Amino acid sequence: MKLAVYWTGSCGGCDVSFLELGMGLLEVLSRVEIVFWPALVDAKRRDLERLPARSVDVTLVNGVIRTAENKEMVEILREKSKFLGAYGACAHLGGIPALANQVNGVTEIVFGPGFRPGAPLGEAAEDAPPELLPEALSLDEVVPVDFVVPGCPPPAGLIARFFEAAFAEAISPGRIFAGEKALCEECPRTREDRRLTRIVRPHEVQPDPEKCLLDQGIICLGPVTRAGCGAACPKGGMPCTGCLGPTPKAGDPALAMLSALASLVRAGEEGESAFPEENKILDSLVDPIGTLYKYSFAKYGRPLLKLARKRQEVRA
Amino acid sequence: MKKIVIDPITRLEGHGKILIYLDEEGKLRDAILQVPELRGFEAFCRGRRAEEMPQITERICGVCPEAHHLASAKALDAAFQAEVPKPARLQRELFYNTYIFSDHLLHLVFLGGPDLLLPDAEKAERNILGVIKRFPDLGRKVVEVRAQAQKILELIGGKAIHPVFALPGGVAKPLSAEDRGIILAASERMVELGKTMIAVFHEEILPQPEFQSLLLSEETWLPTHYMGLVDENLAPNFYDGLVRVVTAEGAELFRLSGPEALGKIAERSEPWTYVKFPYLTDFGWQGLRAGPDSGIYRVGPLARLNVAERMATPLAQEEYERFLDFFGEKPVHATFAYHWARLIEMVQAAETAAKLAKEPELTGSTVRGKLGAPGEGVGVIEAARGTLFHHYKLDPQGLVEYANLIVATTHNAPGIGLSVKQMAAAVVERGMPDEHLLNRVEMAFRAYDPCLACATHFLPGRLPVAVEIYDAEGKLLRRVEG
Amino acid sequence: MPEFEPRIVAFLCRWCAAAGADLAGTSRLQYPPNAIPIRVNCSGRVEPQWVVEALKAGADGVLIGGCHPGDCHYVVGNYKTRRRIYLLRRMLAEMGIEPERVRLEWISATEGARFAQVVSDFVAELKRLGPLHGNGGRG
Repeated sequence: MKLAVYWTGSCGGCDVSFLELGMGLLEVLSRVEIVFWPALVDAKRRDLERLPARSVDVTLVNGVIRTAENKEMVEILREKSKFLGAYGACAHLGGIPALANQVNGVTEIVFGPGFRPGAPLGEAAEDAPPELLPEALSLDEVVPVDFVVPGCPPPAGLIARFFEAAFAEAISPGRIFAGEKALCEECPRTREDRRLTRIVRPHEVQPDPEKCLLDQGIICLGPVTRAGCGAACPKGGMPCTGCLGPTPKAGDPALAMLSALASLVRAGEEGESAFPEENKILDSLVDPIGTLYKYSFAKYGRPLLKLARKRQEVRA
Repeated sequence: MKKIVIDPITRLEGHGKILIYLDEEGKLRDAILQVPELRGFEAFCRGRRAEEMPQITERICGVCPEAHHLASAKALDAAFQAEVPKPARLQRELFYNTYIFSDHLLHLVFLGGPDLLLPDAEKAERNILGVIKRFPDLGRKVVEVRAQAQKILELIGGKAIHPVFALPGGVAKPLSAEDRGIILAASERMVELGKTMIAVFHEEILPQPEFQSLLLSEETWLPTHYMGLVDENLAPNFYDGLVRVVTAEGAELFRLSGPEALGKIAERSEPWTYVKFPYLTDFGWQGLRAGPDSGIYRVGPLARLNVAERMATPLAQEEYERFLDFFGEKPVHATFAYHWARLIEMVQAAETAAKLAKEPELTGSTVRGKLGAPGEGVGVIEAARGTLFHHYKLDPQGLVEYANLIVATTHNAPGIGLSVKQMAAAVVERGMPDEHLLNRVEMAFRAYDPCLACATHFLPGRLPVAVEIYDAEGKLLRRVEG
Repeated sequence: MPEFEPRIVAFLCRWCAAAGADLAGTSRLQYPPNAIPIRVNCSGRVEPQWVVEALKAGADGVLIGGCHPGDCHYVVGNYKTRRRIYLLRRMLAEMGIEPERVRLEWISATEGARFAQVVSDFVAELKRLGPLHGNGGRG
């Protein structure tokens, strides 16, 4: 099986994640021919460009689409690949770097007074670093994507599941290699009568290790996030922050979670007299964008943000 | 005028291109390593919850997330004026030394290693697959022990890649006795592998004439100053210590706390790359060149061994003495010595992890210190690749108002550029280079084990900029500060 | 240039607000025609995502009409609506969209006149805020 792995606006974690297969990695490596993978092998861009169309069986792209070069490279890879998939949260949803979309006027900050990318003194313009795109995008905004291996980075179990399907030539189009149910199904913590009587931040409390974190007032995105990681973060004493992406029914995970949190808040019996206390609890949710759109801001939050920007342009 | 482009550079973390410019005679005019990636962490960290910073900043790099995770936690410890209780500190230190071991191992075998272990290999073989083919036993051991090290990271950190456990003032939860048992056994395997790798180095790598010449030749000798964290015995400490800078001539320039050392570093940008070039303010910017009067310094394994007087653990100390013996003088300016230094540090990290795994208070239940009101803080740590600073200002709600990071590979950006240029000059001397020789140019940066995602996290804003005007002969006519 | 006519999507609960809207109609009350009604069983059925979809699809404002506190046919549905819209408005503000574009009103089945007044007020407010999609003058 001819395999290519490429990184765009990436941290490298997805490339390292394959090593988490442990001994399983040796087996995978023995069954693939790596045609392009800058982290591990020395094939260059021109080697990729020389490949015939659709000659690469499987290509995995990780990283957010941030620069013009990122876009160029994934377009080339799309042409050369039979199956091309988004690997990791950044390619899938935009990832944490997509929070840069919230920074007003990214291009103005980058190219503002003080810095403009350019070629070394006296050299051809093509030698300048690539321009930043005006927005950080998920992979499917730029090329058609055949499948997704989600996670930040994808957990070993899901990587193994993917390779199994790939070697069996059984990648169904549109498949997302994670659970269909919510993370809560996998989480060992016990859930009781769910009531959010307070919202607290992880460093403000030492939670009970057995009980559901949400029940204890710590915002955990488990209810809207796909299972598949074994609930690693809740097992580690910290809440899920949604890296595997939304369950099929959740839609926009931030708005889904927002709805759930609002439903669960209680300040005693529900009723008009409880409204002020309820509002106080709701107000203790700080940084809603960072908390609820942490990995998904390119795919989900950005369209609404764009609306706000468009109006600012028209206003001006 | 000719140009050779290596695109992309490979077997490192991050994006890069090497542009080699030749004159009419085919001699080197200039060579640069250009970093074309940029994500802007310092900009979008603003407005984020402080306690999220260890998880957000670690996404700067998935090869060294542990370094950012803990540098961030330490900056928050300072910002909240918190004292970390011993069980939490032990968890962090054990975790951290395990990370150093794992990260160095990754480079020694997967990234830089293939060049050293397979010097004659063709391009298609010159990678981890080639290493496993030639050294199947070693390959298997490496994969096995690395998995065990990653298990330690998972047990303490929640996840091995992008851990979640560090919080201001401590860590998320206590460690169980059962987990400690697993960790203890794994750490002993790490020490074993360290010993094996030392033997492999002395049997397979050091004796090679090509490697010896890389170690000792002029074309890879770069006299710079050095920076690293040291403990009270002037031994390297990856997790904590004072920032020590030693000059190219071996004298101590300063030994300061993190915040104070931060004040001694300035950064400069160039339009042709998204990485900044730091320099020591004591010398000022003297241009992109090495030497005792230049502000350029290096960090990472070679730098740490240069600023230290000894190692902190016995096996590492033994190998350190062999290392110093080989070179005969200190500081060691040979760039390819980075590989050997990396091996020595890997061994110290394993020994330290094994020691910490036995500490009785490791499983203690007090894992959070008391937090004061949110303010300002600096955290400094030694990432595998060098000194890492995180500096935050928090608002009264505990949201990030300001974040500045100076990351390991950024400190090395000038050094890497100079080493690439040195090697490019040597390579084109011999005529139009073939693929094999161009790989040598890449080997010059691989010695540093660069992490370019780390180096280019920022979105440049209102940076101080200087405009330099040159005449046709390249002589500087005028310099205008912006 | 024709005057900007805001487009409003109105989610109305069948037991109270939609009945109130019907009453405004049968009472022949005059009020601006800018609201497109969508009947739901309970204001508590309105998902924040629907509100956002409406805004993305072309609405300049979204109205949610539910029963007065204490009158919800499903007892507690409107309490949840209130908290959801409270949070949603904050999220919109963070994104740079005026939270005033999403309005929650309690309207009972007998409050035909109130319904008409609410729509009039909302249209006036949206005219003041201007179009969300920046292409003005759509009727």
